[in-house]
Amino acid sequence: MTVLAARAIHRTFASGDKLVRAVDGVDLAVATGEILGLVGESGCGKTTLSRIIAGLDRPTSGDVMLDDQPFLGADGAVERGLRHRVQLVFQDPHASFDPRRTVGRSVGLPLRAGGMGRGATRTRVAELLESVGLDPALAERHPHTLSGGQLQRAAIARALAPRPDILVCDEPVASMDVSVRAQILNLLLDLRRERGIGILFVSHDLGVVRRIADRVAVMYLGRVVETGGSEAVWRLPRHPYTRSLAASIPTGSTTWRGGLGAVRLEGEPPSAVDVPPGCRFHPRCPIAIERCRVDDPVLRSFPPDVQVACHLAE
Amino acid sequence: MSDPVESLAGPDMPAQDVPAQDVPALEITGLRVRFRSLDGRGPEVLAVDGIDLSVDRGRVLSLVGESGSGKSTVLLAIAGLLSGAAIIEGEVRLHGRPIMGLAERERAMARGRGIGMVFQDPGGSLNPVLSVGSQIDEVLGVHRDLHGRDARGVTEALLARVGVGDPKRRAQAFPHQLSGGLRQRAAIAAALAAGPEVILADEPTTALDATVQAQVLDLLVGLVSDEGVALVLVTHDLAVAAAVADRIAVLYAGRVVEERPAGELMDRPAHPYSSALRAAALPFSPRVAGDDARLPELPGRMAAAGGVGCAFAPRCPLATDHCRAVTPELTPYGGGRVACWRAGEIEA
Repeated sequence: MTVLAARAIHRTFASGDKLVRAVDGVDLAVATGEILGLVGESGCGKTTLSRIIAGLDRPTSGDVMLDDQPFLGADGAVERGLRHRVQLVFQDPHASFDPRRTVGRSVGLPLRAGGMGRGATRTRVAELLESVGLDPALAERHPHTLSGGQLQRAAIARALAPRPDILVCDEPVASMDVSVRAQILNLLLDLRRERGIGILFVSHDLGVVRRIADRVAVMYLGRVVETGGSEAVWRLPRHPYTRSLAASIPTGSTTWRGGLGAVRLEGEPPSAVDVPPGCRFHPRCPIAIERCRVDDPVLRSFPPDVQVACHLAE
Repeated sequence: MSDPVESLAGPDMPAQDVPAQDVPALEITGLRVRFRSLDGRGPEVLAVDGIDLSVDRGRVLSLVGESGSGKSTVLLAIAGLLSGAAIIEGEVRLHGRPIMGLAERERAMARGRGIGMVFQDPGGSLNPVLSVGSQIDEVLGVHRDLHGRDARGVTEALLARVGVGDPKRRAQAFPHQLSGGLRQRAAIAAALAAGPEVILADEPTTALDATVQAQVLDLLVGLVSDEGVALVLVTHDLAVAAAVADRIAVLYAGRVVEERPAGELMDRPAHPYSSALRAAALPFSPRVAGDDARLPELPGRMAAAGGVGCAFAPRCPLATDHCRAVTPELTPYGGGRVACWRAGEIEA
């Protein structure tokens, strides 16, 4: 069942006298207990979109809905009543904790702000820390005395404090050692399975996304260009951008040298200041035809559950 | 890839003593690195605990490990880039020539000529207030006695060689005016400028987007096969190492625990740590049916270097009392070496 839905989200920024179309018409949905992987390269808009969904930024237009209830710009009380159900976990936990506060105070802050008493908060913080596999005694410590993995667990505990339905995780395991990364990913998988929490998992790491996401959305220059069941998309990527992306990731085999000359994208993603006309991918697309230069493709459906924005997809 | 640029190690280079072909391009023996504490009164910290490695011309050796394994310290020690707090023991040979015994100045020249260095953050190796072209010109002046227009011509050829389009214009750009991928290409051009036999690359693609990472890996592999340089690639990503390396050395707590041909190590790792690393690597590969299960975890944290017994024993499912008491040395195994008393028992 869909819990969270983003509808026709646009977000533009002014850059000098130009407009940056960071997010340019995106729909997304996350169901109970589902992990949606949001992937794409720098500048594709995935972080802007996740900040909008988490309430840290406002869209220029479009709506974010919980259980079919739009709440952006709704009555302040309605928005506050729904807002706590979506919580955010950042990439760098050392940057997301106040270094002067104990970990326990930071984790308990949303509870205290919600009117919970001191004693009840302390008990609840201990529960939360235990639920993410941390010793409750760590509540007394300051952030710099915890390892990156421990502090990311604490960040997840803090996000869980208001009992959210949705976690938005923005590169939560980037720059972690692989053994620590496995522990954090397992924690997220447990939360999804045991509590039915839906997760929007934003990452540039396709290996991680392929391993844990149920569905995936591939963004390019502010748009979703392909979305669907994760394995359906990765087994048969239909958009040329998805294909190149998939072909550029090491698979763990030693065949790279043989793969030299494989389809490689030329250049780097252009900026969202000068979005090309027609299909925004056409300047880098190896198979673009005349139509692609003028006609902006919309998402079309393919069985079983994939949508692709490419004139040539079949 | 594009054609090799003939002037890369061109005829304008002063003749060097021509090395024998069977000597490794780079050989390090008994490398140990300790750091003094900042105030000089605390205990020394051991970072690299006796490492022997070599790499031949036209080959790629990858050093793989997690934080604290010592992989980056090894690279910086070879390049002579560690601070004065580091105490370095052991020998580094470039094409058979020992360089550690040389006087400071000769050592710096031997390294500058023989070794090119590429870092994770090209912003860190390029000077932000000089155009990328003038930085490459400078290397050409110091190591190949090329100046003015001669230098700039080679600089532009180098930039073209590493896939920088419109090199005449790009040479005049400052680092911040280039994208991350172009900056890394420019840094690779600078690393090539002296005509080195060895390139040391520390996580050169970690900060890059996937499609750009693939382009830069293509470039590095192309340089190795076309120019015959030896590449030492430090990475935390076993899948990247598998994709480009001929041999992989897995480091743990300052030691090499396994060093094997890449295919062998990926197919049949002999050390339990290599096996755990491979299981945790999550390369881009299909999910197995019923794969909703949790990922394999490696509990615990890396021990400090230099302890008693095998440093991996506290986290090892196979460890015995013997493992905890006696440090295993690297011994021949398959086409390489492994340091484990129970080597091969995890082979599936």
